[in-house]
Amino acid sequence: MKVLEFNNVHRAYKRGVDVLQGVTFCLEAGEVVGLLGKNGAGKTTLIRIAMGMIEAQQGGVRIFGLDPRKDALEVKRRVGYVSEDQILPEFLSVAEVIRIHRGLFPTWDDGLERRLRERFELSPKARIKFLSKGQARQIALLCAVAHRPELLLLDEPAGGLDPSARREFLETSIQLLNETGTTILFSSHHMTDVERMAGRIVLIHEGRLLIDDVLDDLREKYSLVLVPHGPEGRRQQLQGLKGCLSVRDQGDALHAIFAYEPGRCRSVVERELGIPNAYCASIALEDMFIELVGGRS
Amino acid sequence: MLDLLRRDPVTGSYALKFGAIIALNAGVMAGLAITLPAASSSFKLGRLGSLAFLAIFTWACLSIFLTFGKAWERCRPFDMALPISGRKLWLSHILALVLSGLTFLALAWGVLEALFRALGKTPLNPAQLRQALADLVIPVSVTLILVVVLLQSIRPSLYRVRLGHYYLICWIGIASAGLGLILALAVLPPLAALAPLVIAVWLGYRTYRSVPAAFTLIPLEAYGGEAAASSVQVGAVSSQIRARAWDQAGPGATRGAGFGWFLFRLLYLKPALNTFAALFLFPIIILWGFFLSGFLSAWRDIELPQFSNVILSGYLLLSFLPTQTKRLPLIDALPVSRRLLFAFLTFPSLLALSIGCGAGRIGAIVIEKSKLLVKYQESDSEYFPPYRTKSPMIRIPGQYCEIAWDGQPPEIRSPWGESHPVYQLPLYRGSRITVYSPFSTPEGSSPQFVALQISRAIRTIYGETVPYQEILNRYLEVSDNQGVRLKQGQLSLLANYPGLKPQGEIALFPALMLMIGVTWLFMTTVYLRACRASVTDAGRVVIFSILVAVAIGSSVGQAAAMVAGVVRPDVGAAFLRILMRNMADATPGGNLAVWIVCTLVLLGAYWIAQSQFQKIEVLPGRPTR
Repeated sequence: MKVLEFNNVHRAYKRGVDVLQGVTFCLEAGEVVGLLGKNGAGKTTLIRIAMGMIEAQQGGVRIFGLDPRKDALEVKRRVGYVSEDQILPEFLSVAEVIRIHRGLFPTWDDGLERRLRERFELSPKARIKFLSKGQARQIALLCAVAHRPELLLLDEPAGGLDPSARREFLETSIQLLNETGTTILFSSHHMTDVERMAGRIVLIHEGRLLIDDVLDDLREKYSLVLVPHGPEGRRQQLQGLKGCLSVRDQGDALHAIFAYEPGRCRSVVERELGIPNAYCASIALEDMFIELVGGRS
Repeated sequence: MLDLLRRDPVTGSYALKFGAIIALNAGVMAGLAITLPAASSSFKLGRLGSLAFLAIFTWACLSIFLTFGKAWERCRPFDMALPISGRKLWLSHILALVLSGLTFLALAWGVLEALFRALGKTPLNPAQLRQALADLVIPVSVTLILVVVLLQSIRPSLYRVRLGHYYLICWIGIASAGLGLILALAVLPPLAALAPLVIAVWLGYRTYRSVPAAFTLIPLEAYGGEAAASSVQVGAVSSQIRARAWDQAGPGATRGAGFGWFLFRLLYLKPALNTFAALFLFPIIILWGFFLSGFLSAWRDIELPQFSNVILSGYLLLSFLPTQTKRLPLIDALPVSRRLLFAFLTFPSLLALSIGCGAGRIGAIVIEKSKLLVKYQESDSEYFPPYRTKSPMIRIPGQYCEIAWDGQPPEIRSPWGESHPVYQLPLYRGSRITVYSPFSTPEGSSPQFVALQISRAIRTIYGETVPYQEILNRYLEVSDNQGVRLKQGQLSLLANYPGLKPQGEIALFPALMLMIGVTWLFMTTVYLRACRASVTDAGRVVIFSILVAVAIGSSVGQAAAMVAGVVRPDVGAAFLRILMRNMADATPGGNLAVWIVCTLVLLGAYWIAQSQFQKIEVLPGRPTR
């Protein structure tokens, strides 16, 4: 069952400067998808469009088959949302914030709330404005998940948190995922987090979908190829090869990413460019991210 | 130092634009407030009155600037990382506040001066007002310096003072004392201003010496009381204590009225700055509603231009919106209906206006029932109704006049054949449409004719017949210059006919609420159209400024048109009142129908604005993408 569908989503903030240019992908129930992209790629805009906070200028978004703008209440009752810049009403205490959320979500799970607040060691009388960033984010997560959402949207939820708080946050999310089968779309710059949580990766670059693949396939199917500098036009030659996603000049050699496993990659380079035994290897997610977004800028 | 002044939070934020808007507003409002009482021929402001009025106006203007102009923020956190001493930052902040304050003052006084020039022929003495303005320059400037120094002596080691109860109490005390000081200095010899100036310099020097080499972000001692302490020690509290605290907090959910109170706090009372705004604005809106209600007209027989301030009223109600839309990101990700949010954004202001206007209307109706609405009198007012007339004439509330669409009102003829042209005024200069009084008694009318017209007016307004011969014998006499005048100077009909109750009252309250409501909701719709991710904050400020300019321009334009003799406020108001009365007369259900129609139209405007609100894009800031 499709939980979240982006269909040819376009959005610009300034005329002629498109932030999203026809992004299309969907999330099936129970999937955990990591949304990657460098700063300014359009990740936040995409998640905000999913939440109905921003409208798509072209294309559409459906959550549970509903329009998040027109059926906002129905959608928001079934979605949990945490973002880096999300702020809670600073004048409330922790208990008041929770009471408000309890009143807004009919599916609120008191048991889960108790477990989380004990785990996070939250004090009911503490005012939001006096909490640390990590504590505030923990409350935001508690509020986002304690109503057992069918879809969890996390926009760089661990941004700005220290490693221990980030780990705590992730572990909680993973645990919840295992328990309930919640669908999760989350954006992050921490590749280790993505590798720990996500089963599928969506990479957006300059408003376009660059990669949408299962994480295991990414590790197996994609390769880094190092090609020595040669005659003029080699870079263009490389870029023209089938399966080549990006080429980056790194001084000593050209770094290319291919959507093939290393063996096939090696034979393609040898056949098409006449370079025998070129260095071809599987690539870690973080390196792939750097090569891809760097090689296409 | 110039660089520091440019970087100061006061000059480098919206405070300047906001202050400029306030100064313009204050200037116009004060100008109108000064000119309106001039409607009363007996009104004399005098030197002390002029000084007091201008001092209050000036101080209110400066107080709003000091309240909202980031006086509490001495530098930006970024500046703390630069190799600039705290003392230098403190000094530049004081200078920025004083200079900006004086600039706003100049702006507001400039607007006032322009209005005085434009309305130079009013019964008020503009020369006296100008003199009062000149007399206030030194007291206000000295007070501003002292108040700024006092405010900056609160927790001088902090880069910004926390906007809590402590600051609020300090601010109210300092502001009240400031007004008292201005008034005192205005009446004392100019040299007396040296005393507060010396105090300001001494206090400033002392505080300057106590400012540390670098500001701190938070005070050394913990603040925030138990709640803050409990959050700081969150990890240290044992799990049993925490569990007990949670048990005490209970499993309740915030719904209904509790959730409503939360929304109200979110949108109107938090952060503390919004509390300041609410404390200022709600009383102003209530007073404004009272002013528009017609109470003063009923009480002092002054026909105030209530309909001509509709656009300004719309702006007054709109003024909350920009800050409120910035609070929406706190709630927008939650399943809270936009309709509910819009209701919370609009109803409190509308309710405040309704309370003021409703109370005023009730008061006006009570007064009108205790007074005779038919008057036979002269007036010496030139610019405000009732206007100067050569001889006494019958005056009635505007709704009992009539409209001549072709400018040819019917002739009024007495049974004995006496006839006079009716008193009529064009809707605006050059208009064919005129408003006329069917009860005119022009110069040369016989006493019998005047009595007949009074009798007819009473029949129209009260539905009772008082024979004209009785009015003639009991109340009228011929004056020395062969004119007609009242015996003992007044028509005491109510004493002799206690059963007289006015009929045909118009539904002024719904009509006013409709006009203001539609204007305000239209402005709201325009502003909300700019609440999209593709519009920058600066773009929204521009749109809001345009709305402000239109509102202020409409009021100034109307005042200018009134002074130039293009329009008369009483004629326009009477025109609208006659239309309302005719509508009530022509519709089954009378005033009830007017109420229903007004409510439906208002609801229509509300629905349009609400639809626009449902389309807005709520963002904590423009995303980096």
